[in-house]
Amino acid sequence: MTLAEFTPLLPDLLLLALALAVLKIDLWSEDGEAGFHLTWIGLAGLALLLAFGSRSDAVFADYHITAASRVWKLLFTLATLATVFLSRPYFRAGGNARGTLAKSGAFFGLLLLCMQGMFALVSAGNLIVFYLGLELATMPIYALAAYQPRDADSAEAGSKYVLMGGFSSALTLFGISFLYGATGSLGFPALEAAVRAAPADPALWGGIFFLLGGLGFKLAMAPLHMWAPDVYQGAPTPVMAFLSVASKAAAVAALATLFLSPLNAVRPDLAPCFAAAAVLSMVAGNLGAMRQKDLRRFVAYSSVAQVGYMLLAMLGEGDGSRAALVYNLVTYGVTGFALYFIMGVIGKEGPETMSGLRGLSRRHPGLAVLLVLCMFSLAGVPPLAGFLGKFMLFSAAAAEGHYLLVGIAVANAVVSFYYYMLVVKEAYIAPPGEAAAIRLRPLQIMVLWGLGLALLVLGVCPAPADWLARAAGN
Amino acid sequence: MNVRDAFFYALCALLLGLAVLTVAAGNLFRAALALLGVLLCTAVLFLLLQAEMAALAQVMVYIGGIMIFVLYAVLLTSELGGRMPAPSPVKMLLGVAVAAVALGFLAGLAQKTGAGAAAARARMHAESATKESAASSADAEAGVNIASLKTLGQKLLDPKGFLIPFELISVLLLAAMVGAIAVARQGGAGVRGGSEPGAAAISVKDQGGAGAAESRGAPP
Amino acid sequence: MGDTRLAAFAWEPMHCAAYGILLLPLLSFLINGLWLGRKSARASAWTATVLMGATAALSIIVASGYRDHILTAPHLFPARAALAFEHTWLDFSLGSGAVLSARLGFYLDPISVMMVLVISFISFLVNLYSIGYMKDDAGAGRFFPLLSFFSFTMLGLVVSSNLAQTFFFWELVGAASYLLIGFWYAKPSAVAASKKAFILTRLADAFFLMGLLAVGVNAGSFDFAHLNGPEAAAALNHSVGAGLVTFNLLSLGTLGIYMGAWGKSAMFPFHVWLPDAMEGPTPVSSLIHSATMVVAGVYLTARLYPLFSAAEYTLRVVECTGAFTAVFAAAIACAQTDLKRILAFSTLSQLGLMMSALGTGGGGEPGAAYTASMFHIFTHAFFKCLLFLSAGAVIHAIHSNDIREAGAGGLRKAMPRTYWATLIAVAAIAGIWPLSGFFSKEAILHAALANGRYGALAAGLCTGALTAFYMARYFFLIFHGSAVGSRAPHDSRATHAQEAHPVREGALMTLPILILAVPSALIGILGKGFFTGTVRLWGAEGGASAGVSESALPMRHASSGSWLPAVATVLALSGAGIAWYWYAFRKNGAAFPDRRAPAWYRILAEKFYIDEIYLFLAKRVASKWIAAPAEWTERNIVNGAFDWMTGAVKRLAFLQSIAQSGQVQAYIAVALLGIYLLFRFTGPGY
Repeated sequence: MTLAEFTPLLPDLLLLALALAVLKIDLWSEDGEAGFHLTWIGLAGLALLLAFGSRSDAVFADYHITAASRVWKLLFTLATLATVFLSRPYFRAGGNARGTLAKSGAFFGLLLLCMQGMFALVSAGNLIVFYLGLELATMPIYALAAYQPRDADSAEAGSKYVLMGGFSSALTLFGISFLYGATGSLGFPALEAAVRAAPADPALWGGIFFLLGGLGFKLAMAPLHMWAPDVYQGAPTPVMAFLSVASKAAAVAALATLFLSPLNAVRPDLAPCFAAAAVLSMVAGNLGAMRQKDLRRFVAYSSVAQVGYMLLAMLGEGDGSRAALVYNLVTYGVTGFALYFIMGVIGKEGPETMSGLRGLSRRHPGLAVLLVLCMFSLAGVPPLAGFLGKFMLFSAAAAEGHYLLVGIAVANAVVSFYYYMLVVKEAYIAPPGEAAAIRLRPLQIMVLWGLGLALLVLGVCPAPADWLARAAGN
Repeated sequence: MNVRDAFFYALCALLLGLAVLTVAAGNLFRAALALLGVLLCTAVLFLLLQAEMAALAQVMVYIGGIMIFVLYAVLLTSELGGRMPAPSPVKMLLGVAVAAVALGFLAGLAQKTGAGAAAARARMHAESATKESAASSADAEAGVNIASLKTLGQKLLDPKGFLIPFELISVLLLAAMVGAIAVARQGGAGVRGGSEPGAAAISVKDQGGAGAAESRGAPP
Repeated sequence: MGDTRLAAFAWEPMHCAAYGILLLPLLSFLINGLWLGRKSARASAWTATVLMGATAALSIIVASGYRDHILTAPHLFPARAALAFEHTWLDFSLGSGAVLSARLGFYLDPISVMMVLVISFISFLVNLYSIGYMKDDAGAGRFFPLLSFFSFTMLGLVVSSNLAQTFFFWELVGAASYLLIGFWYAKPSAVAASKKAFILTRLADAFFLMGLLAVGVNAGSFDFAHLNGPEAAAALNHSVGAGLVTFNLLSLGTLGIYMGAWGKSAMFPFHVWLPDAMEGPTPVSSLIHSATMVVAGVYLTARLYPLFSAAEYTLRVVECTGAFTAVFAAAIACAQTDLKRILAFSTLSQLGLMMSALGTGGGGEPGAAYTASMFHIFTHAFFKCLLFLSAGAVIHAIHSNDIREAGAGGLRKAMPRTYWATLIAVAAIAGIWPLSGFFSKEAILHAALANGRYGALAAGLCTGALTAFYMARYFFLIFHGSAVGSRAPHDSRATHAQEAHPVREGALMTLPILILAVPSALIGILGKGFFTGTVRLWGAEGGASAGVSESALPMRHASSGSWLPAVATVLALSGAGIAWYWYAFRKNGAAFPDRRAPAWYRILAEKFYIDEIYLFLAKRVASKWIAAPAEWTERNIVNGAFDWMTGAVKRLAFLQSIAQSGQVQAYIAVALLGIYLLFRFTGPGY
């Protein structure tokens, strides 16, 4: 094996090196500044490498580097990069009313290690790598969820996530053992052949059942979603952002990796199951979100509903589904992060709740407008990014003739509209006392403008996301 | 029923009994000891299945490592003679329901798989009868040898084998360690971040307790 | 799909003008919204107005280009339709390799050109009017960019070349209206109204999206040129199963699309948002009611009319909802006292008329129905805009929406120009010859008659009579109210208001009113030829159907329905006459709630014994048995049902929260049992 053969593996190796370097540099750096800069520069470089670097596919035993995996990795990298920027004020004294986070080096290191797990997950060529990737993508979040110092809610979030995560890992592992028992192989190609040969094997279905249970937890798919509100609420906001975008993308990628390739043969039989889970998730998420006052909890429920929409894509045909999923994740990520940055801004002086948004239209009109854009995008109003994401998901399901399901999804989108509008309303209600105007830092202004423009541009001219989705589909 | 079968069933009965004790024991220390017994029985089960490596790992990791930690933790945090409060009837009922469903599901699965496996075995026998039997038995011998330590080690470090999962595990352990240390040092050393007491009080009041999380969401 | 795409038409000036029509309002939105609106409200107002005027000029270029190059070349453009430009916007794969393409185009055919003209012209006038109207408003800098945006979205909607583009702009229209209705967002009622409008129309849009997907995915294209062809209807006309039920895909798809139109055009029971939408500034109301927003539903139905007319069942639904809304809203309008509400209900009623006209096409002569409906959209835009602008002038003058206070103001003398303009508009909407409304209403009635839809015909006649009545009431109460004559000089409240705010007619506000009065009066006669000659259905799709529509042109069918204009005119005149007698001659009726009336009024009322009867008729019979029940239904059943629906959703949400106990054991138990049940009932064999 020559060195050149390793070039496709470069992003993964660089990520590992970056994680180690960040952990190491933290030991020398007094204020954590070096770690922050190293992390974002490294991640930006990694994103460039993934987007414009080597395009050749490669197979290292059970580690497959494909075009689709590169797209997923790019997605994870961008989501993590946004998380890193988002977390910036949370580590500054007085940057957030809830309290200041400490140990930024370990925080960034854990994020990067988590990303490593996601990378492994989408490159997995057998069930062991798959499982390890899933585990590595989850385990650092146990610690991150409990990162708020001396905060009971954060500790609760961490311990709850540990318990639920452990439980779901056990289910996943159990499911994998069944799959192994049924097919006699761990590698995806052999698995695919075995599943195609005997798609009705009861042990296989037992395995699928447990796997769905395990992945459903990670995905926060109803009825396995109940941990999400508590964990999202308790975790620090950047961690919640990471959970709801990167981690969710990883879970979706896991689902796509398994059910769109090795288990593709049984997917038609699973369609009713996915359909029912989609409906349950949409209903549970939308109904839950309606009553929330805490923004993080609100995000949790709304992301459960988003999972419901995304499950629609599992009913469609392979390439189109993957494209729709990636597209939707991109738009959801952009919208979500715009909202989280707004939460970060209002969190500086008050709690990150609905009432904290009150008077935003006076304190910073631009921010209020961005909030309206976010909510409209989440609700799927054109010309914002969220609309096209939903449109593609719905058309993927409609193309397979699931009109009833599309009807339910669309009805849910209308219901969701109601609570997204509640958020908008809060922002335009005058506060009891005149609140001080908000001042933004240059970094915040830059990021917020970028995300706001992306919201509009992705909705009007979907070419960038389209390119990603297409690459993932092939 | 030969001696081996009899031993197997006895072992299973012991394992199940200990498992029930783990859940039902009123005293935490006893529950931990029962769990230790469960793990030990599992190791013996592995031995019965000729998976020596798995049995070894089970003893070393779970009994030698994890259970000792659990026992320490129990000893450090709870009174030795204290009894835990009995769970509420609703919870018991829920637990029984979950257990029953799980049992039913797995039993049904075992029954169906058993039938399927028997058919597969018959098919395999038929196939091996037609082919030359010597080669297949040699394969079977090789299959048994997989569990030996030497093969295992070679497989783990073979780039075409399990090198990548093996390395991933080391990253996983690193992540676990970093995470554990970061969180553990957070509580005592909240000094560096040091949030103002006033802000903390606001946030705690606003967030409220854990159990009633949802009722907080209700409009005032 | 290539063959269904229309040839792009390359007459350079028209090509550029087409781009300009979409870009100028957008430019105005961006310039004013991002920069100028914050610097100077006045400058932004004038910029927006000038750009909108330029848009109107460009639309004239496009229209003349269309007339000279496309209408004159039937061999090149047999469908009388062409594309000024079209860009691919988004392709997505549909499984099995098929690719569905959404494009951004500029579709030229008689109705889109007509709508572009109407929208740009009316938007320009409304902009001009708003300069005066919004002069003193603190948010004027925010108002004009939004107004430009509203016009932009509506223009984009009417020139769409395909359903995906239509939906896109359709939602934008909704979003723009949301921002404009809730323009005074400090006012809770405005916020509530804008939310109601947005959520209700979005509810309807949900069905639209479903219908659009069902139609687009199965017909293989979103393009109107393809969807309106015979092969699309044939491809759709089969049954599919979804879950428990099976249905015809053509009916489902068209019905879903119609549901979108239903909500946007505020047909019963979705109409509840429209009267509340009056919370926005009056120029916005006039734009919503005349040229943008609400007519979008009718336009969409017309745009896909060939497809709709293949779906018998859907057309029946269109006809019934339209006819019912027409009569229902007209009845409610008779009992309203708020100036703008009367106009809002009249819009509802007129939209119902247009819809029912389209629906009558199910009787075999779709061409006549289509032409009549489009004609009425056209005339209605002018006189309804005129009505709103003059109502705005009145409101601006007396600072009240109450028709009773207006009536006390002696406005006829103070605002002579507004007075005459309103008179023209009222006569036009009532259908008095030779004003514009007469001709388009005749066309609708003729279409109903030609198609043998006597129910719709009766509804149309009834609506005509009611319309004449309430519009005359509106007019007489405002301008011939009691304070004008010497008989009721004691309404101290109004007199006081009068002194506090001297009435003036600002030049900037009067100019658009005067300009609009001209088309409101004359457009019927002038436009008749255009509509009967050019706005025809299926000009190209096949000789046979073209022949049918030619022969069905209402104006050439005079022999079979020559009695119709006479009957309609008699009905309108008698409705107006009754209103005149009650509200101008006798000066009572519903204008004064008699309990609060001064003592002399009661004596007067007792003295005129005959008035007691009229009062009884007006209040006890007409008001109690017709208008009041209609209003009651409106308030309690329709609004109540929507409230109940939202309440039910909230209750469900509460139920769900009970399960969310915060305990991990419970979560795991629910999760395991849940996923097991899920698998048990949906997975194969478990």
